[in-house]
Amino acid sequence: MKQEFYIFKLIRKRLFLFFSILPSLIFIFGVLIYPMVYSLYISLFEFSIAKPYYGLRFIALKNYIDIVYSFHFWNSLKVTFIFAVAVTFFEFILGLGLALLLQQEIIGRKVFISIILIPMMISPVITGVIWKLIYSPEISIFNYFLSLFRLPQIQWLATPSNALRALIIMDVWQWTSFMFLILLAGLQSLPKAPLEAALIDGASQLQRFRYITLPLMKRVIAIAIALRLFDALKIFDPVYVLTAGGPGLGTDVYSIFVYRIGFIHWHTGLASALCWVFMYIVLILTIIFFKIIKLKI
Amino acid sequence: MKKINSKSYLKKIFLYLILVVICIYFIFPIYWSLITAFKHPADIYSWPPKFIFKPTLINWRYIWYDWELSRFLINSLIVTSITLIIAIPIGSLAGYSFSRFKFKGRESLLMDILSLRMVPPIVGLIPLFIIAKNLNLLNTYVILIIIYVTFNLPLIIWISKSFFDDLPIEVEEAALIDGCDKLSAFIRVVLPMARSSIIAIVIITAIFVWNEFMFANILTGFETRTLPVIAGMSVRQRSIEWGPAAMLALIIALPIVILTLIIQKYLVTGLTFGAVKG
Repeated sequence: MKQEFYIFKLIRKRLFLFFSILPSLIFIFGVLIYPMVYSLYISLFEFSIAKPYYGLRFIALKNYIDIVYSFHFWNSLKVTFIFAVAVTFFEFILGLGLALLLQQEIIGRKVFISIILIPMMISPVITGVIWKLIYSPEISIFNYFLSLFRLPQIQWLATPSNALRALIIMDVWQWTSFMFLILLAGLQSLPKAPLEAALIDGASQLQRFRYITLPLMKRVIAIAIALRLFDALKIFDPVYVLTAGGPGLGTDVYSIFVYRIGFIHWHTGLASALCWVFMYIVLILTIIFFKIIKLKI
Repeated sequence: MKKINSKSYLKKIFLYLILVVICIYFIFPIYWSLITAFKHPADIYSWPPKFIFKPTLINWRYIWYDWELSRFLINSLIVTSITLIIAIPIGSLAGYSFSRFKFKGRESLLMDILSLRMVPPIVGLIPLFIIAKNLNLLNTYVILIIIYVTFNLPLIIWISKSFFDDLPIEVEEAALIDGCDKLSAFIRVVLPMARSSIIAIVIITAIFVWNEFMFANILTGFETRTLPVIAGMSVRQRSIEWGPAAMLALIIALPIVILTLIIQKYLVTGLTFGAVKG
């Protein structure tokens, strides 16, 4: 009798576990994993969902070979990486500076933090709208301020390189607070003892920062940079709204590029192949990144 | 003594100034689009740009009546709320189980689920579009909700698991001894204790779904279009109507900003849960 109860309990325990995780797994497998595998399968074909009468042609790796020889592909990769590295760098510097300034209690600290948090919460599309307003040639408030200082006006969205800079400024505006939050949390979780010891030993603020704070923050910094960098590679919404690929191909970030191939030119097979190439690149980058982390930390 | 005082005083003022400048950088675009929303078109297109003007609600009336804003507002509300209703229970339940039960493959399954956050959304967009088209699910709420639930599950599971890891197990064990089964224990005992974490998850998920653009852009038609899609469309015309566009931006952004300012504390924990502790 007692043994039966125990077995029942075991099964019931496992049942709870099973059924509590099952819905999540169904969603994740059905809506994420399966379509991804399906997309890999499609990438081996040449077909267009908008022109189903062309039929399905199995062309194996031809899509991938076309990609390697495609100028647009390499340009898009270049733009994406320049963008991602630049924004991560600037957001890190700015976020770290803000975190350092605001970790201590100063007047108006809560106000400053509230203000800093706001851009991150604005929808990326709305960010695109707001900045498109600021950059728009006819009514650009930016140019107005420049003219106040007798500086030459900049047509932000008119040239590829200007458009990329405009994008970077916009993204830094939006995501610095992300870095700020993570770095602030990291700073606040640092042990106080080493810093106090250094203070007693007469270290200047700069020395304390360089030799104690920074090394202790290595892990947090690495995580923050990784999170931001890999997110920046995927950017789509604000670019689509602001420039849709930029004058020419100046802001043709990868997601926009794939979108254009897949939903404007309707080369569905090729677009799927592009997606997977991107996945592989991100995977390799992740592995490299973690190797670097393990070495340095 | 006096020298050191004035030096550090100056430095303090300098740092304060930097803070103020940076805050201007953050606030000004919002401020500018805010006042644009309340400007008459004549004021918007005047040069030099006007900072002092007579505010008007003409843009609000325009988007409400001419653009039929109510339809899209309702769509956004429906999609967001149903996604929350489905995703939060499923995700937190899974997070709870991941936290309390130790089973074979737990760590690797967790890692797999979390690594899905790394996937660029565009990778899912193409096959999901094909699948949705074949199933005749384009221009429905269903497909959007399913996708949004799925994309938010990894984060919900991760945050709730982290939270439950830190929750002392004694109270649940007491409930179990007193005769509750696992599910009742979860609902009656654990969930009330998890209030702050659930609030954080709800708001983070709500923000994501409310603001989502890429999938909504492709998978919705006129009937089911959500607000971000309309906002995107409003600025991709040949001639952009900035007044209505700015007003629309205000409407989309305002609930989120208000929510943010209210729950700042929870946000810091919520966002850094996976990052610093993980």
